Amino acid sequence: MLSAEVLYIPGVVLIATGILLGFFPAWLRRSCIIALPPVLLLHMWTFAGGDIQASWLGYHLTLLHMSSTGLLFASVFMVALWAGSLFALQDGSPLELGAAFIYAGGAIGICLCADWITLFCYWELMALSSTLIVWCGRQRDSWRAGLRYLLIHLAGGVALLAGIGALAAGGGSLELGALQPGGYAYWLILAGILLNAGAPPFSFWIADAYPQASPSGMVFLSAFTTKTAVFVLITAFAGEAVLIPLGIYMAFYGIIYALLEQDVRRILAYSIVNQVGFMLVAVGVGTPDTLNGAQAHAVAHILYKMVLLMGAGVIMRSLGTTKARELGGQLWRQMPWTTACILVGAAASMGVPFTSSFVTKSVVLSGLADADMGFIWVLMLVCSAAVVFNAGGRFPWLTLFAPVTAATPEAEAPEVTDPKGLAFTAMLAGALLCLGIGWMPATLYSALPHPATYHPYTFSHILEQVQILAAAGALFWVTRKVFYPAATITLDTDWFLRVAALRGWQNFSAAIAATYARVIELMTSSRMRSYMLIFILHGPRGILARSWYTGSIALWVAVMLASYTILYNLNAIPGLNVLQHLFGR
Amino acid sequence: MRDHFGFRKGSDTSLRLLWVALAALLVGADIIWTPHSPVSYLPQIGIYLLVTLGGTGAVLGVTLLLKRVLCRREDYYVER
Repeated sequence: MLSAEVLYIPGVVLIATGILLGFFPAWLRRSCIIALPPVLLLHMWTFAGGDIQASWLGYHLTLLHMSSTGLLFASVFMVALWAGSLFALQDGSPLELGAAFIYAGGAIGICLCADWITLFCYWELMALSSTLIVWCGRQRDSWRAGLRYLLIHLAGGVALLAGIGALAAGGGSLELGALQPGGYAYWLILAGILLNAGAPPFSFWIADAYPQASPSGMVFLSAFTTKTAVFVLITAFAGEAVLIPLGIYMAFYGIIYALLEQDVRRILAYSIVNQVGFMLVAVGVGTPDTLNGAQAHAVAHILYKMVLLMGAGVIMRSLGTTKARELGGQLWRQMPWTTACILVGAAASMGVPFTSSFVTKSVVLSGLADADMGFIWVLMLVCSAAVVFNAGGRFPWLTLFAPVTAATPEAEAPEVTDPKGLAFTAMLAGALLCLGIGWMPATLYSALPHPATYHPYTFSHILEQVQILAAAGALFWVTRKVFYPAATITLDTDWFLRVAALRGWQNFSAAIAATYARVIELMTSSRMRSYMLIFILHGPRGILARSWYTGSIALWVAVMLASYTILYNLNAIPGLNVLQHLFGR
Repeated sequence: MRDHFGFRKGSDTSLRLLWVALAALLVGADIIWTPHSPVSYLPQIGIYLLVTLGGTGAVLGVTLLLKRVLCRREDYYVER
């Protein structure tokens, strides 16, 4: 009986709750937000039933399947939903909260399903609900950024659907698992997934859309879309070599663009691209160690990015801006608890010993070294170190510690306060989880799908990490003024969408309009009118080209003869000389 | 006193000395205690410092070059 079993599917329960959440009274909405995610998390880890299956149009669907990878991703998504919702309770609208539940339900549904058709339904639901979250931001450019976001994600959905269709038409299995490389289906599905991961040339949508959401909206957005794509890549495309160059591009793109950015939330958005690139490289290499590392790092990344975005959100709520030039007022003095949480998140992003990334990122690097991929290892080590230049060092410095600048004189130093109640609980919980994973990596390692043999706490690993952090930190400190944000924006590939394509369309429309006007002008000119008169008279159906009736001809001959006779007789009258008057003789 | 960025100017000799001491300690530790490169065909000593300084330095250089090409006024898209 599918109808009763549906209640066991966490994704469906979250989606149903999300739809109804806006209609609930405030106390019930609050209770749902506080209690439902932990209850569902407990349910996922204690669920002893088997797969839940259904049939649709002759296709066999697996609506619930607890794989170790899926369970790990679904669990961290549930934690992100819970913390993000608590943070959103302060100012998140019921619409945003409902959309967040549907969005999280879609992401968790993808992790816990086992066929491409179910995955596609959740995928599209995620695209629509996340667009709603962007629109709920109600900033100056939220609407347009949301439309661009929707355009990209619907295009990705079309590619994914076409791929699934090709897979079904080719007689392939629709079961979610490793796909056979090659063929249209394989590449279309990969393209659809990569669009959601923020792969080039469409990496721009993350920094374009996410910062347009509300402070809590960006917390949700940062957790689900890209990591769901990473989950599907791990499941279906592990070892696909194309992912390695794409991941390397994303990793460096994220660093460079974050360095040129002035808005601290956009810096964090670029940092997402940077870290997802790191994960893509790990998936592309595809050894058990790198796949373990990708999954572990996805978990760590969701948690520390959540904390950093909450910190940025607290500032945005107080000041109404996240532009670095308008923040410089040493905010750490006014918000010690937020500062502590941001520092933990930043330390976790850089891989400081005893924080989460120290035990996750090193699994990937160790896996790359074991696979003897020296060049890629070097590049990823650089990316790992360069986190100091975005989320790790630059973000907290610009947000909390940058000295009072000319743009924000001391007299106008802004006022902010630590969050209170549930918002603070959410941020603190995230920070504690970052530390907890760092202190007790065995718990996370035991949830990974492949046996984890890596030991992060060795003398050499701690020493090498300290070396990396010290060297990168020194470079950051020396160059911090060179890269102090200017009041500029940085052109990205969205320029082609926002300017080149728009200008091209405008030029095309103008050319069409000009051609139409020219044709009309030509049609109405005197020369054309003369041509048309000749055509009317002498054309195939013209008056003079017609076949005349015999009677008509006889009439015209009679008329001409009568005219001649009249003229002749008139001319015969003496003194009148009609012909001479008419013809001159 | 402020520099042209608007930052306060100040002398922090002790901080600089601390940096130098830390760098010396790290280089010393690298030579004496390892860690060596985990990849056999890469330089064995100083690889982490080398890669970090060289790699991130190169990234910063590229960023400065791209800054000239890619940065526009804040209202660039608004005007269009």
